[in-house]
Amino acid sequence: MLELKGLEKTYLKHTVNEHRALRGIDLQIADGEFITVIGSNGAGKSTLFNAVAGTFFCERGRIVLDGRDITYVREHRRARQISRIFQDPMKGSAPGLTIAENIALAYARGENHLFSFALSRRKLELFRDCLAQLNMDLENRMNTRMGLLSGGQRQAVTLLMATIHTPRLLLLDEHTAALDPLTAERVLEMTRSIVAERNITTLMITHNINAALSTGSRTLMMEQGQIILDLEGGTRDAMSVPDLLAVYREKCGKALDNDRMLLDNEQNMDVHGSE
Amino acid sequence: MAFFLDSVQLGLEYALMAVGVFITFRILNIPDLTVDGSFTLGIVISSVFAVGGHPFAGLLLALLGGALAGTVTGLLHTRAHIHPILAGILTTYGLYTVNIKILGGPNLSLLNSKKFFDVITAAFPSMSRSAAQAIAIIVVCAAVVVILNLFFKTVAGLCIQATGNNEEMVRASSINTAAVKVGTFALANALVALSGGLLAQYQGFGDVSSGSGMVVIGLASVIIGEVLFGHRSILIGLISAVCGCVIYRIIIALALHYNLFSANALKLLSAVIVAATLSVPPLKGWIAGRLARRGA
Ligand SMILES: Nc1ncnc2c1ncn2[C@@H]1O[C@H](COP(=O)(O)OP(=O)(O)OP(=O)(O)O)[C@@H](O)[C@H]1O
Ligand SMILES: [Mg+2]
Repeated sequence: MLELKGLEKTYLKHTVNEHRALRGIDLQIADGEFITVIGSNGAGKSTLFNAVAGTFFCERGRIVLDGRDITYVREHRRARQISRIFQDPMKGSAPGLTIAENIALAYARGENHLFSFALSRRKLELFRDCLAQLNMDLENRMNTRMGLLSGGQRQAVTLLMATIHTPRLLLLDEHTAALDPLTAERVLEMTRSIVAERNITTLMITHNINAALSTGSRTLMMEQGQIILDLEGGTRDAMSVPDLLAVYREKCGKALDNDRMLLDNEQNMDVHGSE
Repeated sequence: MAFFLDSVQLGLEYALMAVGVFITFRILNIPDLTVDGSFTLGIVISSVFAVGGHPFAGLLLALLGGALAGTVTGLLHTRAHIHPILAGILTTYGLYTVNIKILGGPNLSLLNSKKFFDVITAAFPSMSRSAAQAIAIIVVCAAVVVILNLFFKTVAGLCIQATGNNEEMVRASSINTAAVKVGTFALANALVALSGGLLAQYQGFGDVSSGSGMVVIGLASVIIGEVLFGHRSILIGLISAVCGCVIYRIIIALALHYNLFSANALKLLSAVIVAATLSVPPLKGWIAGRLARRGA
């Protein structure tokens, strides 16, 4: 349903700082696939997401969503079908507005009733039910300003907002990286269950190699603006974290390096032991 | 007392201008300098139509003219990517020519023409002229505040608030933030121009230079209102802009009455008030930092 053909993006073209962030990305994603994306710092993961979401237009290549060429469709138009969540919990919501108002805004996505009341009784009840499913007791704090919530709570609400209308494509850019491990696991679990329940086609960037292999059905590894590994099915199931790191070292001639990299303690020891 | 009531009345004539400034400056979070130009545009349109015998049409067209001026600034900002301050300055500068052209000269007297307030006074012959005038302007301001408060509870109104708060998130909600900004500039300047239109018909003359420095008066009003009422909600914000504007007029009137300073010093004083009040939050932070360091 999503097809990327030869995407290329160069930052600061024609300057000394010219940087080829995407160097020909080809990717076919089927309906309902949950794909995790890993790679070192600066590999181009976020750039790829920005290209798909339409933050900028690529200088070469095509993006086709559900058979429609959206290469030059503007960002806010694409947002009707594509939801995204960022690493920074502050980015996904308006801190000065209340929880209910933030959800109302997400709910208005693609809606044409610009002059209907944003917080009608019917909508408030719906939002309350959705919030109750997060199990964070937020349904009783709907008039609290978003800025007063903790990072984990904000990210959970952002997840709710991103999926309140089921999107065709969900892009998660390290959305748990800024949270403490326990909260991160909780938000990740929420993500898994929402995605599975509604069969949402999802791409998730993560620095947690373990989560990358255990979440979803397919894993991509990026390096220097290219996809260097595409794992699924049996090969993926057989792959352990050290295996994956070894593959990376073999392909790139250096250790996978990411400042936010998280490995299980035991496996971490393992990696360092073998070096 | 009469002098007090006069300044309240005058403050209310300017109040919708302050409300317009509140919408761009505080809700959309972008200072808009179109105000000087669109206020004058409201004055000249309203004056010309009042002289032509159509005071109501004059107010309505002033409203539309202001919306158009705001749209121009909005498009310059969002489409041509000009800094909003510069966009406002450009629109105002261009409007100077337009305004003189519309008015047919630097000023125009409405002494012998039918004005909005004359129509109101004629409709309520039992009331004194000044009472009828006061009630008319109070009703206009109250109606605008009520309508705006309802508007800011709709999806469109929420979009404006969110755009001023976290634009990126609004775009991610599939809302065209450029359109939101243009619309907000149009709405704010429509109110500003309506205020200018009301003022011209109240004072009985139109002058192309009455708009200069209007944006500072608007900011001062908004800030005075905030100092008194805090910023708790949209409704309170709208009301405090109106009240701030009235209080600003009272302060000015008192100062002039007691000869505290010359009329010429007013502009400097307004600028100082605005600059001083805007620098309170950073100053508070600085003092808090100093105290913390000393305590540590
Ligand atoms: N706006 C920009 N202007 C110039 N260069 C940029 C810009 N954004 C990203 N880059 C560069 O493009 C490359 C890819 O960046 P990107 O953010 O996609 O990496 P990433 O894979 O998401 O890394 P990380 O794991 O650190 O988030 C980096 O070298 C980065 O410096
Ligand atoms: Mg990134």
